[in-house]
Amino acid sequence: MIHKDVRAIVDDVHIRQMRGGTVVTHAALTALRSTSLASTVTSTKDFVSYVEENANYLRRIRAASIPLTNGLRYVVSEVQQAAKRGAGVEELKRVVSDSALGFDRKLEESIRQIAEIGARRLKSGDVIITHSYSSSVLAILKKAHQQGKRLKVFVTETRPELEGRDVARELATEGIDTTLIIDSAVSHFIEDSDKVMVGAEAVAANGAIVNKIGTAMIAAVAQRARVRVFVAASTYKFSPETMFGELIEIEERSSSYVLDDTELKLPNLKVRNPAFDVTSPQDIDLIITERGVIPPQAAIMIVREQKGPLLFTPHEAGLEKFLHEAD
Amino acid sequence: MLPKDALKIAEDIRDMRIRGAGQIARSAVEALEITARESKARDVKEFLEELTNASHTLLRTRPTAVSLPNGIRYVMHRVSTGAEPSKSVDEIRNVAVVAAKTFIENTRTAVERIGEIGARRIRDGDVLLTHCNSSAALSVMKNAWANGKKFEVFVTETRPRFQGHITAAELCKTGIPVTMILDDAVRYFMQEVDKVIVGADAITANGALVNKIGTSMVALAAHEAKVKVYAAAETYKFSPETMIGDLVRIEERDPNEIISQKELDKIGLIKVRNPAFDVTPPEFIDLIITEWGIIPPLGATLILQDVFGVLTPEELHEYQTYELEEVWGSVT
Repeated sequence: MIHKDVRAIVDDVHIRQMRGGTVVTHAALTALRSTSLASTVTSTKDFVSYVEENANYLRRIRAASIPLTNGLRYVVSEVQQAAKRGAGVEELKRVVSDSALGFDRKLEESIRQIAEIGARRLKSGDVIITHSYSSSVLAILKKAHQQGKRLKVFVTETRPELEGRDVARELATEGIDTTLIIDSAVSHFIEDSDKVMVGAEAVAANGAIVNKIGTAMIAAVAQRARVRVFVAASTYKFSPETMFGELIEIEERSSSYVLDDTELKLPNLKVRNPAFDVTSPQDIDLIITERGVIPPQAAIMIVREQKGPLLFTPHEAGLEKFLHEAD
Repeated sequence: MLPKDALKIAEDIRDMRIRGAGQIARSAVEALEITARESKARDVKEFLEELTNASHTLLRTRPTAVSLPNGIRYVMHRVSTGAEPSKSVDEIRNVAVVAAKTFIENTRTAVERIGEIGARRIRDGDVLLTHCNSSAALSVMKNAWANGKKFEVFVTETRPRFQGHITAAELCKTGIPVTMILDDAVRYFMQEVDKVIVGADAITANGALVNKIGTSMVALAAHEAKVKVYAAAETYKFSPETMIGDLVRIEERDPNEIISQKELDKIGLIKVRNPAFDVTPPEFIDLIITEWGIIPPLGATLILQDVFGVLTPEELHEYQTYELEEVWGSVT
């Protein structure tokens, strides 16, 4: 049975479409934790499947989000293991609570460390372009600003959901010199810029990143203009599946975000609205993780270290078996 | 002083009753033609002075229009190279009238001819991508479709004013299958595209393309993916000023095109910048389709010299650098 709070969070368009993986993961884990704690089922077996079912449903918030997947996976596997050890429902509830809070805390902590590390890469006077909403990028910019570095930030509005306006508001509230531009104007302003800084939904084993649609073009423009491209991403966003040939799924969202249903009703007109794109590692200079700054080509190292406890895939059973064999 | 009919045209241009790049240029040239026809000048020198004065008046009517100085320059280049003291006023008058008529005729048929020429470059089964709304680019696609070629077109919505919607509607009406995408999604779909075709607001002496904001990113994405980029441009869009080192100025438009004042006030103290055009370097352009035929971008100087002659620095003050101005929904 899917709890109504879980449904509500999956249906929350604001969270689902306008926030980065960190916010999404936090919201999902919070929902999973509270609904599990409120559960009235009495058998261990039922409780475990209740948690599994709801966790699985929560992945619908964003299939491409690796921290979301990893976080939910972590909670589910902790519960499964505890159940195997013979824990009762009350104890399992504690396990859900502890593991959800634990993962969330680690993720939050990773953002703090990313801010620390990323801020060191910014100088006073830097002009930065950012795209879409990333908690890590905001944390870095705020940190650098608090350290007294004078920054100027170009924020793309980020069609179609316009979450760039929220980014602009947060930066302006902090007192950072902020300029809002349309996504298409990045190329025009790239010559005035020193750095591009974006977050990531996922980092693949080859160092490519999946991020909000438009990121790939911005990175390509920046690379050509010799402007550095920094990606801020905690190691929870690295995707072990890609090591085994799995491609990260790019969702296409409703056409109504591009074209109002009442506009242009024409027989031979289609709309396509992919939510993310893939930026190739050649267009990325650095990935800022909580464990330090790495070149994109080193993503494979992080992925290798992580594949054990955090692996989660749509075809988990088969792949896990494969992994054990690989070990 | 301009003759009455010519003055009326100048006022209509100035007061925006005449709109659209092509129409502005044709009207200005027509005013020049009227001046030439009605001139009572007794010698060539006096005739030239009259025409030059008329040019100056017309140039001042709309300092931001791209096409207007080009129209004037087209006629004046031919008049001044043909004006020898030995010739009679009527002979020179004839040069002016013929040049004006040719210019008007050329600009009127340019879009159609670009369509015919460009259509030959489209193949059956092509997937095209276009940005913004360009009558020249549309003409190419419609011509190809009329020739029985089957293809489909990705159309970007083109923030902030969504001219892509106009393009999509026009293509759909012709029967061409269209897929509307975000400007941000161009690179995502580039693998599926065979050719990018865009219009031009101006072409510079080095073959760079000044066009709707976002065009340079579209062209970069195409270039990276080895997809051909065609710019469809009437020759009156070529910018002679850039031959003497001037840059085309890029207009920045009202921030409220991007975000309403109410939303902006909610965000707080931020700036909004809204440039209307950007510059695509010639390396990203494979061909420019003009009404005189297809040229590589580096052939732009040839067009400039053929059509407008060589601009000397002394003439600079007469042909000031224009600022491109966007005319909403105009079909030139």
